[in-house]
Order: sequence, then C-alpha cells, then structure tokens
Amino acid sequence: MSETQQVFGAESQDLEGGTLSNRELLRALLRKPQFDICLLLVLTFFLMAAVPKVFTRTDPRFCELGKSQQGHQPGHPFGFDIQGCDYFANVIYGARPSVLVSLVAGVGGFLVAGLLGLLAGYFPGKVDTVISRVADVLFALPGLIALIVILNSVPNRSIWIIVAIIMVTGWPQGMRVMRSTVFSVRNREYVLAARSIGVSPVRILRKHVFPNAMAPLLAMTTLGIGGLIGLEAVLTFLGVGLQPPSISWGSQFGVATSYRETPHLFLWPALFISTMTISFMIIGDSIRDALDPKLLR
Amino acid sequence: MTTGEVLLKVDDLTVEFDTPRGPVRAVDGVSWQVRAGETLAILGESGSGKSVSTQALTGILEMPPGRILKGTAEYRGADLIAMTTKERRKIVGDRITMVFQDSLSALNPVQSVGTQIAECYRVHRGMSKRDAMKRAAEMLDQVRIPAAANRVRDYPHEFSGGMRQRVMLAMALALDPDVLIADEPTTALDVTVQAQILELIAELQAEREMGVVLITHDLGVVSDVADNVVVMYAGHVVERAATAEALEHPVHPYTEGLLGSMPSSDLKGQELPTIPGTPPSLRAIPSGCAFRPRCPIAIDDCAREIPPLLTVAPGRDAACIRRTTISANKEAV
Amino acid sequence: MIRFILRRVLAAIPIGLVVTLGVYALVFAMPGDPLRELAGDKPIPAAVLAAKRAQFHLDDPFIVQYLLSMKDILTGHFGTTFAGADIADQLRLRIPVTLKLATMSLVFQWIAGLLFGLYAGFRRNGVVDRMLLLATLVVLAVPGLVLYFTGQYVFGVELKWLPVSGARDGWPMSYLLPALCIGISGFAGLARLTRTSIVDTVNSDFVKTARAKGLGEQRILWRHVLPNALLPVVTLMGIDFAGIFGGAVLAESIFNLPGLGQFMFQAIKLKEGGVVVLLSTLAFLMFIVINLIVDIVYGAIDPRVRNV
Repeated sequence: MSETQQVFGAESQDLEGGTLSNRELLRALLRKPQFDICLLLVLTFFLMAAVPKVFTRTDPRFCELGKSQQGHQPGHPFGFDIQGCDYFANVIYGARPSVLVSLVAGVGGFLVAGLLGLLAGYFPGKVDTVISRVADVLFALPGLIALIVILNSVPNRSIWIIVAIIMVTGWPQGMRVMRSTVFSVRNREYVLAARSIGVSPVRILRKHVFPNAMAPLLAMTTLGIGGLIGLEAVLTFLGVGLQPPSISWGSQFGVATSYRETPHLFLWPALFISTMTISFMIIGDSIRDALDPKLLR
Repeated sequence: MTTGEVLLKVDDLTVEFDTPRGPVRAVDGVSWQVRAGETLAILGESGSGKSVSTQALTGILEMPPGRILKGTAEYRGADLIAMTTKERRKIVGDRITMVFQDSLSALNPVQSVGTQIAECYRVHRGMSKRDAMKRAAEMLDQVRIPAAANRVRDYPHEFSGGMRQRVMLAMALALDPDVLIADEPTTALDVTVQAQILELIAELQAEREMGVVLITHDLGVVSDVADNVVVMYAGHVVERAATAEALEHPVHPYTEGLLGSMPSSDLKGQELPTIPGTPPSLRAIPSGCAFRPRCPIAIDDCAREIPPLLTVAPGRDAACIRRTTISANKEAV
Repeated sequence: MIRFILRRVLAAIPIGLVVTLGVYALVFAMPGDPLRELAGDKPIPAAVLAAKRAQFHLDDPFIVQYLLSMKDILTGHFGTTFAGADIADQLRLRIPVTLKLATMSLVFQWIAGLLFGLYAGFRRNGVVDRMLLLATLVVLAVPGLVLYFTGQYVFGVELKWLPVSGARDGWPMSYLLPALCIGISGFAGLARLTRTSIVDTVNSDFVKTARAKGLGEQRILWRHVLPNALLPVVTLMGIDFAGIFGGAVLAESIFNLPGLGQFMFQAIKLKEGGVVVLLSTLAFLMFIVINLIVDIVYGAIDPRVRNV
C-alpha cells in the first residue's frame, strides 16, 4: 500500500495547488465520464456501508444450515455461505468495515500526517527532530509487521481500534511528503510578508502554509485510500483484524480460502473490493490530473 | 551597420502547437537574419514566440506537440528545417550553439561541468577523454572562471548563478561556433552579473567574428549590446530595425509603448506610462492586427487583416497600417 | 565513504533499540499466558511449568526479559521456541526459503518494471504505454490479498500448472506462483514510477541543452536521461527491497511456505517474545543495510547528495 502511495506521490510531486477555484475544479471533474461513474460507485458503497438495508432486506445472520454452500437461487443471487446464510446480504453488510477503514483512516491519516508534517516543516529544530525521529522508528519495521504486532496485543479489536492503529503507524510517509513541501513554502514571499506584519504562527500555518503545501499530500491520500480498503481484509484474514461474528470482506476471504470448491464465496467479495478500490483510484487520478497546472496550458 | 556574411537567414517561419483545445499558432511568418559579427536582438514578452522560433529551427523543440508549418532557416545557404536530423546535428551544436536562461536546470546535475563541456569535443571532434578535458579547462579559463583547472570536476550545483552561466557559455563556445543563440541568458541573474555576462559575450564575439542572436524581453539589454533588433508580438514580427534607430524613432506603436514604459530619470516623480491591457493568449489572438486592442492609434481598418511587414525607410520595416513611413510617425500621438 | 557508513550505523543503533524494545513491550503486553495456551486443555504439572517459566525468564520483570533476549541475540544463543524447536535450526531452514522467494519476486518485478517503464516512457502514448497504464491501474487496484488468491486459484487449483501451496516441490516450482504474485503487485508501481520519471526527464531543460549540443539520441539517452531518471527509481527499489519481508508474511501464510514471515506470524500468535524480537531485529538490520546500499548507490549517481 505504502508503495502505491510512494509512486503516486512521486507522480504528483510537481503539483502545486492548482489555479482553479473549487467550483471550476468540480465542474472540470464532473465533465469526465470515468469520474462520474466512479463517484457514483463510491457513493453506492458509502450508502451500502451506512444503510445496508437499502440493498437487501434479508438478515445476513439468518441461516439455514441445510442450504450451506449452495449456488444462486431466485431471491438469493449470490447463493449461500458455509452456514447457509444469504451471501448477497453478507457481502453487502461486509462493506461497512472496509469503507470505514478506508475513509476514516484515509481522512484521519491525512490530518495527522498533515499536522505533523506542518509542524516539522515549519519549526525546524526540536519539534522537527522529535517528529522525524519518531517517524524513523515507525519506518524501520515493515508496515504490516508493525500492524500485526500491535494489533495482536489488543484483546478486543473493534473497527475503531483498527482504524486508530492504522493511523498511528501509517503517518510517517505522508508526514515526510508534507514536511518537504512545507520546507519549500515556508520562506516564500507571502509567508515572509505575513510574518513581517506580525501574524501569529498558528494563523500563518492555517491560512498561508497549509493551503499552499497540501496538494501533494492530498493527491497521495486520495490515491492511497484505495490501498487502505484492502488492508482491513488482509488484517482480518491474518487474524489480527476484526473478530467473529463481525461481517467483513476480510473474514469472508478467510472462510473462502478453506472452501476452494465453491469459488463464489471468494468471487463476490473480491469483485466488490476491487471495484471499490479501482473507483477510488480513478477518482484520485482524475483529481490529480485536474489539479496539475501543466495540463491546463 | 555590420556587413559580414549572412550566416543564418530565417524566412517565413511558422510554428503551431497541438493542444487539447486545438492547434495554436505560436510563430507566424517570422523572418530575420544574422551576419558574422552582428548581434541581433529578438525582443518580445513571454509568449510572443521569440524562443519558440529559435528552438524550432535548431530542432530542439518538442515535435509533437510542436509543428513547423512552413518557412526556411538557412545556415550558409543550407536549410536546417529541410535537413535530416543527422545532417542538422553536424551544424547545431557545432556551428550554431545555444545558451539558455536557467543554467541550473539547463546543465545536467549529475555530470561534472568539465565532462559536459568535454562532451562537445568528444562528439564533434572525436577527441580523447584526456584532451577533451584539457580543452574544457581552457574554455572555463576563457570565460574567466577563477582557478578553472581546479573546477572542471565540480558539479553544476557547486557554482553560483553567474558562474554557471559562464559554464553554459564555455560549453556553447567550445567549438568556436559561427552563430550563438542566447535565449534570455541574463534574465535569472542580478544586474551586475548580468552586465558582466553580456560584456563577456561581446568580447568573445569580437574575438571570433561570431553572429549572436540574443533573445530577451529587456530593452536595456537590447540598447546595450544589439546592433539590430526584431520586435515580436503574439507570434508576429512587428518591427525590424537597427537598434539605435528603433530606440530613437520607434515606428510600431508597440515598440513605442515599450520604450515609453522604460523608467528613466526624466520621468522622476511622474507615474510610469504603461501599455494598457495584457498580451493576448495565443488561443485568442485578435483578428487583424494583434496589438489592436491595446493600441492608442487603432482604427476600424486595423481589424480587417493582419498588417504586412512593410519597409518604412531603408533598412526599416514595421507592421502597422497607420505608420507606413517614418514621417507619419511624427504627427501621431 | 567508511566514515559515512560508520555514521549511519551509529545513528541506527538507538533507533534499533527503540524498535526492538517497543516490539518486545507489545508482545509482553499481549493478554494470556503463552505456556498455558500452548498446552491447550492438557493439565501441565506445576513443576514442568515452573521449569519452563524459568527457562524463558517469564517471571522476570519486563525490562530484564528484554535485556536477556537482546543478550541472547547479540551473543548468538538463540535458544529454543516454547514448543522446544531449536531457533538456530529454524533460522537455517527458513532463511533460504524467504531469500529464494524474495530474490525471485524482486528479480521479476525489477526486470519487468524497468523494461516496461522505460519502454512506455520513451514511447509515450504508444500502444505499450496505454496498455501498461491500464494494466498497472488494474493491478494496483486489486488488493494484494485478492491477487494472491486469484493466482492461487487459477494457476494452482484450476489449471494445475503450479503447486497450490507448500514447499514440497522445492525450488523453483513451489516458489514460482508466490513470487509471481508478489512480483506483479510490485512491478506495477515500479513501472509507473519509471515511466513518469523518464517522461519528466526527457522534457527537462538539460536534455534540451544536450540536443542543442548536437548529440545523438543514444548518447542523450545513456548519458543524460537515464542517470537522472533512475534516481527516484532507485529509491523505490530500495523501499521495495526493504518491504519485501513484510510482504513475505502475507504471501508465506497464503501459500504456506515455511519462511521467516510465517515464523514471525506464528511467533506473534504464540506470544513468543524472544522470537518476535529476534526476527524484528533481523528485519531492522536488513532495513538498515538496504538503506545504506540505496544511499551509496544514490551517492554514486547523484553528486548533489554526496557530502550530506
């Protein structure tokens, strides 16, 4: 995941806050059909996570063991799982953890990385040293291993704990991106001008530095959200994510691998998770392209 | 007036760019020439097509999206544009060389400056590495870089802006070219360094009887060093004259406006006159004369057709239907 | 150069201590008694339990346990797992497995990533470029987990071209499928970065200068474009390399390969603090060494960072 972010971070390095206003940006984006489709898909997934009852009236926990592993039937398009529960309802209800992780950890990660990067970049010296050293430590262990070690020591893992821990271990990369852009912004004339007329540091950071330095991190985040969707599944599959009886795509993968003779158990969550990821990525790609002043000329 | 041999003669050069919103004409029917020993300045604002025209004729313009529609650029009678890339490479880089504005990005950051200068000798003269490096050190000395022998192995980021521009010059002059095209060579430098570089170019030019094409937006630079000047506006040549005459009696209202907006001690205490409006986007060049919307003497006829470049006096051309002779200039404004 | 390496190693020591201490603290904080859980429902004689506890220092305070583990690691006395397996033997068996897997997948993704990235970069908007952008978007969009399972299902279960899991068929058969899966997910990022970097470099001013010098395309490519374009690529290859151990945890558990990743995963599950710290230390050492190599390579091609 972090590698994807690295790549897209680099691809958007020269992205320096577009000259477009927000409304123009939105209009330019909406003109692209692929953006519209993906936005619609993502909104559908959000709705699925928020109110799954809109999509299915079947209770995902209502199971008849006799129907275990059966294929699709009228009223049950995705068939049944091991316990004989309706699989369509299960896949729909399984969207919530993935959406929550990607959205909350994505937005939260953006804020944490942005704030720390802002502080580290704007206050070189002690603040920068402390933040950068902590980042070094978190960086030194492969991300997945750090997550496994930490999550494994938490007894009752709720989705919020998982989100929080992803945020705690995941910020260093975004922080470094933000820090380096802040470095290049902090001595620009408008910042010096603001400082010379005695504007408070908090206001300078909020009004002048942050808006002008956030574009690369924003691009990295929108594209990184795609990677976060799969993370919940990986953690749950490895047994350090959500615990039963939670319904999630990750736990469905875990079950599916043990029952290879019924590929539909794997196929449907895989299809859903990939669709959601690709939608996020195309949205991120479109935003980056729209922000890129090079393409406007 | 210089009377040397005509080295580079550009005629009716027209360049377009393909953009997502359709083709854009950046250079339209531009003609000029430069003689041995002459300094020709191409004056214009950014976007006027001054750099594009030289990049197109030397073949370093990205094509596509750029495209040469028509025109010739003859070096001693051989058309650079009609040539194959291979033939052109024997001239561009050897007989015609270039210096760019931003020396930090125009030099390869991961090669020592010596290696980059030596590359000219290695590629065009087939010299050995040792000899080429020795010549590179000599060139650095010629452009007055102190302790040149010790600095050949330094990298571009280890030089100051002015010194780096000298390195660029050393690289461009390494093979004793006939024509040097200097694309805003001093824009990124501060005024004292700017003067030193211009002086250096003039000295080296005098030693070599070289033709210099100086692309600039700075009238001060033009008046300091240029023999002749070509003024460009929105892809067109609007005025062509000897520098002294153009500065004294500008014919085209645009040249006049540029001169008028030069700060001078006479104007102290008064508001600095400016040309109203902004240069047009190449996407939406006004019909007829492109300068019309900003021109103080425009009439309805100006919108009808693009004014041709007419001779208004011997050696003087201007593209303005209101000013077809020098004398017409006196009465207006 | 030697001073540079020394300085980097010295700077790494405190970070290494903090990392291992943190990992150990987390393992220590895991709930439950590891030995009782290991035994399951079987009753263990109190004397045996006490002996075991003493052997693994489980009754000592946290910091003593940590220091004893570190002492064992640094002196090369790795001891045994709770279940009684000799850890040194385990390492001897498992390191080659992970090394083979890592090497194969890295070779695959580096070769494919660089070749496709370079080609697409130079033939921008060509057929290969468009195909590559589409293919890499799909690969990047499909989560690793889904990719691994799909590969396993299609090539192992359905087509039966390659073993589904386990290391019974030895090298290279057992490793092909997992290496290919890791490689494909890694290749996409590398190819995209290489392409972007080439495109950016080709449009840079110094390449224009090189053209103005009348150099041939081949010379421009080898002397001016590549050395500059490969700078970010080298960084990513280093990150890739350092992260391969993390990826091994997932791949080894899906394809049931008895490598270090699997060992790590089991040790975390069994709360074997000593083993977890040992493997974390190994991973950290790898990380430091790889970063050092990347920095040295980087310094060799980029003079601007040489004196940092």
